[in-house]
Amino acid sequence: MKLPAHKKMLSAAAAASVMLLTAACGSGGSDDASSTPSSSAAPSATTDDSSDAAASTYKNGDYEAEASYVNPGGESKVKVELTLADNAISKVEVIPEATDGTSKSFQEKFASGISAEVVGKSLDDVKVDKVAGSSLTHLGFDKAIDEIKADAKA
Amino acid sequence: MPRPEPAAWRFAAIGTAWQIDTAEPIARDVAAAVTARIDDFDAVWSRFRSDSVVSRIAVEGGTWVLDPDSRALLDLYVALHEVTDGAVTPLVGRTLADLGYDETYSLRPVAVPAAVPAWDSIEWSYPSLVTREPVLLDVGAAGKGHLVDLVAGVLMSHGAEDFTIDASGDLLHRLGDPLRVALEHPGDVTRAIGIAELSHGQALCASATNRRAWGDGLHHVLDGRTGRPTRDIVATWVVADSCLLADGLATAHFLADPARLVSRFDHEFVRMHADGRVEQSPNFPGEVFS
Repeated sequence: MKLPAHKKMLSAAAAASVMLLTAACGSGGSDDASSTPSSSAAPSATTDDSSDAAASTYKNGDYEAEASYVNPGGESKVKVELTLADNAISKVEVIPEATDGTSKSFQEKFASGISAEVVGKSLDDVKVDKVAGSSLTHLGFDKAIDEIKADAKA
Repeated sequence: MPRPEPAAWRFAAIGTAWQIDTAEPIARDVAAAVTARIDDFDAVWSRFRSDSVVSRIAVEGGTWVLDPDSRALLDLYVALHEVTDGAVTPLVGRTLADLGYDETYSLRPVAVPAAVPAWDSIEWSYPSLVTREPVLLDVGAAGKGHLVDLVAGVLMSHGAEDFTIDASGDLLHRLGDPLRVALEHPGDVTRAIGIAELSHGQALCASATNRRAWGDGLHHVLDGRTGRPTRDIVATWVVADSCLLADGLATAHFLADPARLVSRFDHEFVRMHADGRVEQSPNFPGEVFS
């Protein structure tokens, strides 16, 4: 495996993918509190330091790196492949490499996993047939809440 | 392309609003059969009715022979209990009632809510439910979804194949084109965090804790391990091939590692954390607005 050398960039990309998994992983119930990934990115790219000096310029090409993280099932790995063109990432792919069943499933399921705070769109701006959520509550419950509010005002 | 206006039958049952859409109006005898099926379910499972089977089980231990339609529901509870390490359990009824979610909707918690009974206080092997002490069962996590499936069965047994049942958050779509359903923002009911697109035969169940809440951190989704309402997740949506499964998993996604649920049950989900982050399974049918 002979690869162009941009270790910094590869590390960053690999670390980003680990963060993604971290966020998804650490967010469940208390039962998965121990599944905190704790590893650092470990790019497997070979280094050619000559081009690292000019940090703002990257050679076009395909790059790959591996990162590992620790979970209750042991150590898991993800591979990151990305393509650089004109100093920009034109393609990035995260490939799960876990071997134990749980982690493999987890990585496959969450490769597109989690987003930052979602604000959403106004219902007026989306075309839908129905709405599903919390406004659809128990009739008796809503009534009881209304009564309690009324009591509180009396 | 506008959807042809279906016939909509709206009614209230088990304390919630229902709507059944069909291409042709539902015949009177079919509607009566649906209503009867819902009443039968309520007579077994309602903990808000003093004459229900659940209310009898709450008074004395014993061996209770349940009807065939109970099988899938309790089997799912057993599976969910296992995969969530006890977080999902039908044994939370007394605790929920003590926290204020009782038959009169007092919504006022008692000073010391009852602990959730140990799992081995019951034993389920169809058709027998053995209870070793009085326990107040609560099938709120999956019961309504199961009832939607049962109602679908009634409709199909009467020759009605195409319909969409909407039981306020529990949807089963079997009518025409894919159904686009907004995923209501749990913090702002005028907004959607995404859209689910249900194809024929798919069920969607939504659950959120913000509006059915009645006090400081008090709402209807309890963690069976602690007996307290869960806090991290504020809303879930699950798409599955049965409304029972979608409903049960919508509750489970408040309480468990999604990876375990995904590896055990065939479904897609979206869930929102209290801080607004949203997780989804990669093949969720629809989109999340990020």
